[in-house]
Amino acid sequence: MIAEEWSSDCRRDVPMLARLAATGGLELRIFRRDGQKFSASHHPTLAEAPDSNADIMAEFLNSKNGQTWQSIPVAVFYTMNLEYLYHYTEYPAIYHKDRVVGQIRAVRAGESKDDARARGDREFMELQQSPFFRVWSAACADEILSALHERLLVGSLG
Amino acid sequence: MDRTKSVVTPQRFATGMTFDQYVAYVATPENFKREGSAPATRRCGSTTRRRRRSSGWPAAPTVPPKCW
Repeated sequence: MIAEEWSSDCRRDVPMLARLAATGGLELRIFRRDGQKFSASHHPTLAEAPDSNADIMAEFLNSKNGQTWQSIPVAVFYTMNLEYLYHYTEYPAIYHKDRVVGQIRAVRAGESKDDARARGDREFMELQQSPFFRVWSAACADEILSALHERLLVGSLG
Repeated sequence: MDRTKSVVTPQRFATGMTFDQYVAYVATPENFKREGSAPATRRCGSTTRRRRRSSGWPAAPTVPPKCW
């Protein structure tokens, strides 16, 4: 798994993924995404950040909105011989994060940018402590289990 | 992407952290010195992470935001 603790998606899913691994008898290893510097690169490399795991991240970039992103968490599932099976990225399909968080963080009528930032931070923190984060964490587990079952039954999507 | 070729070899895999090592690491001064996604975004969270893994999600927030 690739993770950073500043990521709300990692805070939500990493404990669940650890529990899933423990329950399923999987050997879990977690890798930091970044080194000392935060990376906003769309094409991360070890040349840019030798103290990071950019080379692993580069294998699992998230393509959306015409760009590639270093979205985390990335939970990669391998066989005992490290043959790739499936990977999960960032958040489950039912969590329309860009839409939901975009609305929370949008500047509202009469708000300054600073006011909107402060309110957005507060409301996003409240969202993270709401039951919906449990719903989305459970959806993450459901997606993974369904995908691994599908992989076992009909093979990889490629 | 050719998934048969990867930098994740058995030797590299072994360098990753277990969950307990990760939880311990994120609370270290070494980690807090690293840049986050925004200023002051690195926070403790070890207690909550361990609880969420071991007993599921708390029904209501039981820890202050600074140490979620």
